[in-house]
Formats: sequence, structure tokens, C-alpha cells
Amino acid sequence: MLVGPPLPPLRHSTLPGALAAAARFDVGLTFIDVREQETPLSFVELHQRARRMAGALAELGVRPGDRVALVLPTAPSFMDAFFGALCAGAVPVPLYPPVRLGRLDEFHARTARMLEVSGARLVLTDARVGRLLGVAVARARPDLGARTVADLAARSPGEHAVTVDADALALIQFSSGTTVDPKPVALTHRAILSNIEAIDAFVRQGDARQSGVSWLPLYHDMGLIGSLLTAVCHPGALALLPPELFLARPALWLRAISRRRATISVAPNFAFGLCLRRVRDDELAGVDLSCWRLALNGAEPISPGVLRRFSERFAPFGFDGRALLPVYGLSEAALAVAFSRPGEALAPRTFEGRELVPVGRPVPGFSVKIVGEGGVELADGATGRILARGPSLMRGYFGNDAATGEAIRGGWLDTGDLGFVDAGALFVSGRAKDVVIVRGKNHAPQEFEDALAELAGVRPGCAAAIGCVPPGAEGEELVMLVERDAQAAAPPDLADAVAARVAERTGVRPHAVELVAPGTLPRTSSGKLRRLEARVQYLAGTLAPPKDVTALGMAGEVVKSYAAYAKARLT
Amino acid sequence: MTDADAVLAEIRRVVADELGVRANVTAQSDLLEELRLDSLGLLTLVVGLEDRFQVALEAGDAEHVRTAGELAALVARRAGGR
Repeated sequence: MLVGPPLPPLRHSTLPGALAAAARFDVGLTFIDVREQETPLSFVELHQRARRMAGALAELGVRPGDRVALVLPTAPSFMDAFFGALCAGAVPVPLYPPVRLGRLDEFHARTARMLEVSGARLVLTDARVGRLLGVAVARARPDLGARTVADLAARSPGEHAVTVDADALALIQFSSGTTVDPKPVALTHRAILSNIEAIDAFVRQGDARQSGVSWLPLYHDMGLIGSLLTAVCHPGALALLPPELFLARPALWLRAISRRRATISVAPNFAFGLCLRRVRDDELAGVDLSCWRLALNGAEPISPGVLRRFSERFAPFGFDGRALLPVYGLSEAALAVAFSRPGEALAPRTFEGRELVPVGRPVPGFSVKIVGEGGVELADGATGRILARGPSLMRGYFGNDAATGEAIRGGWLDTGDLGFVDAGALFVSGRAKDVVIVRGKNHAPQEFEDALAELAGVRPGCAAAIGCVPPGAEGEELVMLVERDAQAAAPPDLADAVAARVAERTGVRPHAVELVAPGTLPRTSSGKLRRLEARVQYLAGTLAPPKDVTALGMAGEVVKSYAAYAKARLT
Repeated sequence: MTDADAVLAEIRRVVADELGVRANVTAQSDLLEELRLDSLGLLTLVVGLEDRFQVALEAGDAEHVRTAGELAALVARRAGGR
């Protein structure tokens, strides 16, 4: 078992208390747009606006403990809604805004479901997104409806704030789990503040104030807790870019870090790879990244090759590779579970033929252990499931005791990841859950498999979506293992049709489509796909149909059915 | 006035320069099937067009857009051109 250092005493007991304290400092947030223009929002102003919003929410009928869903972009309106709900004693539930040119039917279905399972009483949005929310709101019917932040701000009766308890719910954030449907992770003020204190203990250097840049979505733990709330609780400047802006123009991220002299910026592995692929030298004129001391890398498997190349590529712009810090965490633990130390990222170890970087040691207050079959703790070096225990574990999945009971047993959270401990450091080597992680986002495999419904030439329900890192790739890619339908005439370009269909329905283009004979994909005795086993066989090149459905066997089936047909005709 | 040809030219530029896709982009090119764009590629294209032509595209606009020409026409319409 790995045991982290003790958790320092918490500086704040609630998030509104932390915001009130931040308002005494002369720092705040800055919003950066596509033209790199900056709009500041100081913590003083944010605090006042939040209290006014709380007044409007209370007048509308929002009571302490009520869930208030937020469907907003990275903009000041998000801050009004998020901190306004907290000051009113309510529980903000940040949800994904729609993506441009995205498929609306999926957005409606996903949003309606998230509103339902979080029991949201109110939806806060803006005029632009609000136009697209009608269907979801009509389906979920939150009893206070949907309102725009601007509308509520205009009709606030005045500032308001209620006293909240440290053990009251503070946030519901959605996890991406093993199923298609993300689960609502319920966190208390104390849990979130414990994790922020743990993160700060790891990243702080003396009394120097951090300056951060983040493009991470505010509806996920790393952007919300790791960047925004950490900047509020240990007041420091934070510049925010909308995620879509980073994805479209990754150079804006590096330019913002340089311009703002940022010391900390966090991103998943793919973001470093995207910079390697897309940032051109002419976009970096005058850029100096020597200020960037903490380049935390988490949320998906970390590629040592990407880290190495990133450090080489941007060294001429002042980047110091020792700043790259692999980290490990998950939304069910608020965010952080383990952090590595400067320099470790560039010294990977080889494990079963591939390079792995350590994700480090447990953050303050956390313990980590590796268990095998039956929950038996394993010795160092042995691979098993990673379990974590600490002060920031979720209270549970909101309204889902059964799922909570499966995730947390005896105070230990089953992360669903596989790993081992070596020389006091945690390594994540794979996962026990069937999750495909593409560009930092977890996808349930069903998302991709279901996209193939009724595609001619594919055996219904006989496709497995797996994630793996192809040689030379910067991160995990999607591979579709698809059984051909022997009965139907398959189109000659079936693999292309599969790739196009998956890209169209999900926005993710498979790296490879492997067509296999019927009966090839491994299944459990009850007929469930065994995707992890399929992945192992695919990577080992041993994915093959079982003996009883060889081509000859199939031909035999056809002969028998013809014989039965002929017999039927004769009688 | 923004015409669809100017938008198509910008689509060609983003696809080649920013996305590194080597393809002959015509008005008939299917964004997903021929140019093989994924959600990241589409987003890069959309943000580039929004910035260049000062328009805002919405979720749901995709329902009517499959080809480069259809995307160009949509952007030109939003920009108030023809």
C-alpha cells in the first residue's frame, strides 16, 4: 500500500467561504477569445455578481440543496451561475454545452437524461444555447424551467448568501464510466476542499502565487476543480480559453501561457500531442515558455514518446521538460489521487514491452493499493486493480445506491484501472473497465458499437470497440473489431463504410477497422462481449474464429439449411 | 458581401494548411466520407470560418451540411452574402 503525506488543515470550510476570502485579493479570472483579446473578471467582482445571482435564484424559489444545472460555455455567465448557485446553498450541476455542427438529437437525449438523474430543479443557460435546450427541458421538465443568466441577473432583488454546511453537497459532476450513461458523482464541500488542499500541497513552491492558464472544459473535474476552484481557493490569476478554441488553434494555449507568464497549466496527454502536430513555428514568434513550471498531464494514458517530443520541440521556446508532471485521478475522488515529481516523466520504465511513466505517489490524505482476485492486496510489482482511499471520495453516485455500493467498498474506491507499484511509485498499465479514451474523453464502447446498427454487412450486435495505442501514435486510438454478416452480401468497401458510419454518428474516426468472421469475438458464457480479451487477442494477432465456425463449418450449416428447405419443398 | 466561393477557398486553406489533409476539395466533397474529417477536424474548420467571416454556427446546423459546398453556402448565408 502507498500512503500519502497527511492532509494539511483546510483553509476554508465551504466553497462560498473560499470565494469570499478570494475577494480580498487583487487577482481574478481572465477570459481569452479567438482574437486573443482578454476580458478580466476579478474575484471581488465575481463574488458580488455571485451574491446578486444568489438573490435572484432565491427569489425564483431555489432552496439550499436544490440541484441547478448549468449548460454554459467558458464565459463570465458560467461563473455567475456556478458561484451564484453555491451562494444560494444550491448544488451546481455543470453539463456539456452543444458542440457546433454537432448532432442535436444526441445532445437532447444526453442532456435530458442528465437533468433527470441529477433531479435538477432549474437549468441556467445563455440565449444562444438556450434556443437548443427546449427538447431536453420539455423531456426532463425541471420544475423551475430554464432561465438565462442575463435575464436572472437583470432582475436580482439584491445580494444574498446562505450559510452552508461543510458536509452539504457542493457539486454534481458526471463521470464517464463503463456504460453509455455517465453517472452523477456527488461531492461535498469538504471533499472538494480536501482535494484542492492536497493538490496545492503538491504544487505549491513557497509563498509564490500561481498564475494559471486553462482551456479545459468547466463541466469536468480537471477544468473545474483542478483549474478554476484551485485558483479561487488559493487565489491566483487564471486565464481561461474555451476548449473548442484550443482544439481548433492549439497555439493559442502556448501563446497564452507565455503572455500571461503562467506557472501552471494542466492538460490530458492528447493536448501535448496536438501541439506537436498542429503548432507551427510562425505561430510562436516571441513565445517564451520558461515560466511554465508545472505542466500537469492527466486524465488519459500518458505516452512517454509524446512527452519526450514535446519537451524537445518546445525547448527552443524556453520549455523545460522537467515541468511535465504525470498525474492520476478520477471524478469519483473529486480529482487528484497521485502526482509524480519533476523529472520522472522523462525517465520511463519498460513494462511488458512498452514504456510507462510513473504517475507518482498518493496526494496528501490519500492511500492507494493494488488488489487481485477477491480483493487480496498484491505485493509490489504485481498488476491488479487500483483502489484508492482518501478524504475527497464522492459521497456516492447521486440517487444510485447500487452503483455507489459497487464502486466504494469498505471506504476504498475501485478506480477500474489496472496498475502496479514499483519503487514507491504508482504505474497505471491498463484498465479493468471497457473504456475507450480518445483525446482525453472517456467513451463507453457501446457508443461506437451502437453506431453500426443496421449497417448492411455487419452482424447485428457483433462489433467491439477497443482503444489501443498504435505504433507511432500520440495516444490511444479507436479500433473497431467487426464481425461480417455471413448471411448478407457484404459491400466490398465494408471497412470504409464502418469507419464513415462511426465518424458520422460519434465524431470519432476509427484508426482501424478489423473485419472478422462470425463468432470470432470472445464472449462470456452469458453471451456478453469480452472486449478486454478481444483487445488482447487483437494486439497479439490471435483474433480468430472458434473451430466450430470455420469456413467449412459455415458451409455445412448452409448445406443443412438447404437440405431442410429441400425437404420442406418435397413434403 | 461574402460569397460561397470565398468561403470555399478558406475551407480549402484550412483543410490543407491547418489539418494537413491532402485532397482536392470541391463543392461536392463530402466532409466526412471524402475529406475524412472527424469532430476535431470539423471544429477546426468551423472555428476558422467563424473567425474569418465573423459568423456563428450552431449545433444542429450540421443536419443540412454534408459537403464543403453546403458548408460554404451556410457560412455565406449567415454572413449576409449570397
